[in-house]
Amino acid sequence: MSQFGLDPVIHAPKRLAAMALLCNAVDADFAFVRDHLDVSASDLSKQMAELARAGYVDIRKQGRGPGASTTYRITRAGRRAYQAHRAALRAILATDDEGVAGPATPSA
Amino acid sequence: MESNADAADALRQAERAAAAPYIDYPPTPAWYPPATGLWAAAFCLATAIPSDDPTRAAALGLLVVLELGFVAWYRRYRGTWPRGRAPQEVRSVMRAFVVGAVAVVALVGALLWRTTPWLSAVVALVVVTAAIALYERAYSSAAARARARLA
Repeated sequence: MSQFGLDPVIHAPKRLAAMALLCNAVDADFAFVRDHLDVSASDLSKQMAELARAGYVDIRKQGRGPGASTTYRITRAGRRAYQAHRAALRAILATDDEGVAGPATPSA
Repeated sequence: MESNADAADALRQAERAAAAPYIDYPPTPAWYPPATGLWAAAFCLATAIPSDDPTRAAALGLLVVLELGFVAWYRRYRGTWPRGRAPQEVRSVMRAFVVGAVAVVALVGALLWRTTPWLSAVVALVVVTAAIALYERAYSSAAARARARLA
């Protein structure tokens, strides 16, 4: 956890968007998340693998070949982390209103 | 250093992404409202079969399987299944749907109780088809408003 309580795994814009999306869905398939994030298939796989490594997302793969499907589902830990991250962003807004600088901008 | 604007932008993008399961969806097929109306009509007729007739359980079971099959298909078609807090525009339409659904079930139930299954089935077909078509139009319009607000 970084200064201000921001989660470095979620802080990257694409991963933040993926977590926000999954927080409001029972699950979402690969194409839906890819289209919403407007990223390439390989980039999405990379970002989601990062979230899965942190224990924030479950990745379920079914079948092989052309009919195969990949589905993402947020975990309980992921939901908690996302909510904490949002709260931290809100706190930054409140803190900035008082003239205090926030943490470094994410790079991914 | 991250600015107030960066945090506000991140929150805005998160809000747009959170709305996606509710407002980004492929067009609902034109057959959906009449199919739902037919399903409701078939349900009325199935409930009219005497309870000691095994056909009744089979018919009701078939209708449940059809409904579950539709839900599974629609979930795949849509690519996701929304849950949690919907955008404000969509919430009001969903509330109206619940109220409307209760009214339709009460109407059809009263007809089943007081009149014939065939009359109930015809009313269910017409009312459910119209109600679902109206709901779909209202939802689509609400989703478009939410997309515009969050763009």
